[in-house]
Amino acid sequence: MEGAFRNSLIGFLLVALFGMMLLTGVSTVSDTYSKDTSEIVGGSMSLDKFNQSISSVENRAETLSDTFREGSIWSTIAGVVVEGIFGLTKDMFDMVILSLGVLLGIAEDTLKIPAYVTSVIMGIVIFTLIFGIWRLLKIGD
Amino acid sequence: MAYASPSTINASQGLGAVLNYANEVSGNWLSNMFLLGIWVVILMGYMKAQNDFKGGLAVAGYSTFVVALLFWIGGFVSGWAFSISIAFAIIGTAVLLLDHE
Repeated sequence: MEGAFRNSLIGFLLVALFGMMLLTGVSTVSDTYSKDTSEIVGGSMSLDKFNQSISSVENRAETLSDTFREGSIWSTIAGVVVEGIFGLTKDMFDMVILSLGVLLGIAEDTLKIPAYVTSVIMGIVIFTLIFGIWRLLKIGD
Repeated sequence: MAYASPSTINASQGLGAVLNYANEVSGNWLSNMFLLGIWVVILMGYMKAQNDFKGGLAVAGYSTFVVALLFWIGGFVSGWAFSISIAFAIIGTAVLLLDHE
């Protein structure tokens, strides 16, 4: 249970990466064979949305990396605890929510799953994330 | 809606021409059923062999995506059906990667 939140975070990031890989492959093949992709990679299944869900990971990781490289050990630890942790957890939240939003958008637009079903799933995941992040902060795991 | 006569099939192009004709007069449902059949057969086969439903979803989704990509390039399936196969591949992978058991 302790690692569930961390696994979810990594899982959602990998799903976004997989989606980007799949859609990039489709775009490349469609260019080669001159196929029209407007019906496929537009809307909820766009590369931009997958890219947006991944790009925040890199930005935050680079910021944290700079903090660790440049500051002393105490200022780094204090900085991470005082300033970094809240931003970090907020970014974790965003990373999951953005990836999940893309997935639910696909389920709603492409697979025609009713909006109230996806809304309920989103609500459950948000509650789970809030409790997961709280647990993560509380026990530091 | 008037469909083309079977006599318009160019037999010199082989089975592909017959399939394209059958697909056209069935309103693209022949190709859709091909994809659905492939997805179901792979899912059931994987489940039977490995006793793993979530893994089966991912494997069936990705396999169907590859076949659908080839069909789409050949003009046998519509972009709409292909986008559904992509969605199944992504959702199947999500189910597999978010499995914590």
